Amino acid sequence: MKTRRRIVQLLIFLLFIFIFFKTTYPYDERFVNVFMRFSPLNSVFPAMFGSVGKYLLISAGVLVLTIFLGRFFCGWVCPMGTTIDIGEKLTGSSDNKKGQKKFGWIRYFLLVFILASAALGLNTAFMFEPMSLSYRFYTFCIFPAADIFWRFLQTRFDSLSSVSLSQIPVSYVIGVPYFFVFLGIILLGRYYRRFWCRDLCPLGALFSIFGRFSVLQKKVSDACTGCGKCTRKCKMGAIPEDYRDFSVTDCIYCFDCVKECPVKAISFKVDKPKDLNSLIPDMTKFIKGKKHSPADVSSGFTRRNFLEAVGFGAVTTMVLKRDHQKIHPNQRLIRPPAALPEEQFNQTCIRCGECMKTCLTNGLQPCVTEAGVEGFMTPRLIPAAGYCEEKCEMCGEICPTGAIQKFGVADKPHIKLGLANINRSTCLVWLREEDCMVCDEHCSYRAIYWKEVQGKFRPYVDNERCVGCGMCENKCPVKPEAAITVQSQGEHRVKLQPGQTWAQINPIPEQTKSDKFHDRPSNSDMPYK
Amino acid sequence: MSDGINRRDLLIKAAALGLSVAGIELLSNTDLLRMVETAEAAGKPVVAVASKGSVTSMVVKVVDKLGGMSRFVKKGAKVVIKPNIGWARNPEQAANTNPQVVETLISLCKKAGASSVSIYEFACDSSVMTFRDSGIGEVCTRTSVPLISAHESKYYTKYSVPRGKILKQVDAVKAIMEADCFINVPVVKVHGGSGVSLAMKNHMGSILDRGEFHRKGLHQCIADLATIMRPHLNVADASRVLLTHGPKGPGQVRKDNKIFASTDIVAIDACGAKLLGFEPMRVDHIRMATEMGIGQGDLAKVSVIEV
Repeated sequence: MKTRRRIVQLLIFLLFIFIFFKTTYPYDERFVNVFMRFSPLNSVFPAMFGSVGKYLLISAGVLVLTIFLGRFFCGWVCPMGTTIDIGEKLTGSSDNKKGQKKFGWIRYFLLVFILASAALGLNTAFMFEPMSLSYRFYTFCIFPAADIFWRFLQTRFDSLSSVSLSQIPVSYVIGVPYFFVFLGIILLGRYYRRFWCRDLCPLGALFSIFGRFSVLQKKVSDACTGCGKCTRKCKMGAIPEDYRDFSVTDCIYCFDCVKECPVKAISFKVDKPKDLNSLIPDMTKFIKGKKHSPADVSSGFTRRNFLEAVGFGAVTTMVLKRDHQKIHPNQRLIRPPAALPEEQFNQTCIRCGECMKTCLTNGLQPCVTEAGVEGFMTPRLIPAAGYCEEKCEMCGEICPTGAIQKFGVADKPHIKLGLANINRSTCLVWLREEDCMVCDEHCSYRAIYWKEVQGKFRPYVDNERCVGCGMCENKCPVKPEAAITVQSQGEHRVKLQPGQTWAQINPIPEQTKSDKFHDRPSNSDMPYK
Repeated sequence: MSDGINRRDLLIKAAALGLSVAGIELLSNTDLLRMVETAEAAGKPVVAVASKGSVTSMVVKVVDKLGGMSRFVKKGAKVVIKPNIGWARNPEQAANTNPQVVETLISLCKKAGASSVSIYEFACDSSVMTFRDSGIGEVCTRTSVPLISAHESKYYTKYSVPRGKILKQVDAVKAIMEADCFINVPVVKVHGGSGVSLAMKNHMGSILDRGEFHRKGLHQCIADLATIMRPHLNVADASRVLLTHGPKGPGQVRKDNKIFASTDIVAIDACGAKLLGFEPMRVDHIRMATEMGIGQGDLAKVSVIEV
């Protein structure tokens, strides 16, 4: 059984890795973001704040399965769980010991906190939601490392040169700190295994609640000698000192115990849920304030904890949910194209990092403080790192929640991310009268025009054509701070209504300034004007 | 895609190629070659120009006029072709070299016995899109020629520019600098900064730091670079020329249906500039290159041979 579980787990993990590396240009897989959709915690936000109900479907299916099969997801499917299993193999882990302190209540606390703040309009799930947490880990840490390694291999083996992981070498601004946070999660396994899944994971808490009446029951035959090996070895600490019992809210059906038992006394059978009759008494105890959670007798989550979590969520929401533009007047916060209005964007974005993984130029980077605490790790375009490619539509295609709305290549000239600004005190033409026109030559939208000022043709930005893609800033020869920079003013942050097109929202006039003054005579005679 | 090839096109192209080669051989190439050789011996650079027929046949004609590909590509030579594939634009938008020109040159090189043909380009737009939209990616897949996006420093080596006036050293693509035969295949178009974008300007796609040129002075840097980057053959594609919003466009495109070829990079630039309506010696980098003795930019001193 354990071998079978391992094979399935590994195959699903390989699928995850395959899809991860497939999340790149050109887009040809319709299921790229399916792992994000498995998680009900990810679906709750687009459902609450967006208008899209279809995101609920896959995760609702997972929940229904959980009702019958308990926390199978944690043991068999979850990429975070598999990553922790692999990580614990590499860094070492400890068996359960007698009298170890347990922290199972924290995951319920986090779940209640997340749901409470979500109900009040703040998205906090991304911090703890395992699907996006692990995907970010792969994007920020594993992807750049794998890319460097692959490029090294390519220098050794010519046959590998046809396949590349990314177009340009990639890196992410918080890759290194994020790696250490994730390493910390794995190292918690030295206290006891799968510490994250047992005690911290709010998705695990949700599955605990729904999986309480799982029909897969552990059976111990009379051959049991009471050696206690299963209790020590259980990844999830789901087997109490009384070896015959097991905690259905902790068991992830990894079947390690079946394999570990020296006398093969353990088996799993489909049976009537054992807790069926204890729900009402448990609930009553919980509501009365006794040390019992509604789902999990052993976790120690109390009514007091519940109220604390609700209060904590409410206070956090009150502190963080404010008029973003007033508190963080950050002109350099450039959002991906077709991003929802800022507040809605922060609510809907689950920070999975798929847009940053797929961004062709590595220009989409996670926010650290630029968008405030409420926008932590949301994507932002850093033009110095990479610009928004004219013919790319990947972030919109891939976003699993619609925080970045779908758009087509033809919409690109109509979706403004911001507006380019020329700094005349550093621009080579304005300052030194050089014959530079790099911004003009790279501009995909013909948004630079030239006007004669004091005997010299000098560049101007056509605000009607400029979409703020940042290519000019990226390519400007003035370093390190480019002489033309994109600022978020004039960005289009609207939710597209059905039937509406970007061309309707932002029509480009037939004649703009750049048509009037389009080509400058260079220092030689320019015959075409 | 409109520029995708089908069997019929292929057959027509193959037939045209065969016929034109046969036709030129029938005409007895020796007279033409003698003309070219006498002109070159007299110190007069030669630019061959074709303006009739299909793109493929024009390329074959101009190369043959200069003595045929075997003059440039010896048996077993390593050939590097450097087209202009800077932008994610269609062939119809004339911002990149016409893929048919590149394809014909590849087949000519292979026929001449090249041991390897490869194409290098440090594109301005994302190379995935640039190579796809320009149609040259497809040509390379079809002819199994490696198309290398030289956007990483591992392709580059530092070279000093002894004759450079302001450019003293430059990181250039090693494979191009050390190729047995380097064929420069620019497209003829206007350029906001350098006036025209032709053969010398095309070298900017083979160096690592283009920004330096703009900071130091574009025209002189282009001329300086041309002192060390010496193509064995230049073929300029004027099948379509971009007249406005160069170098990227989209702008006004004129179908000139012309192909130039020369061993003199300045002379071919002068012809291209003339075609675009510029007075060649008033384009700074052409004048500078002429003064530095890289080639002849004064069309009065160039023998332009029509095919």
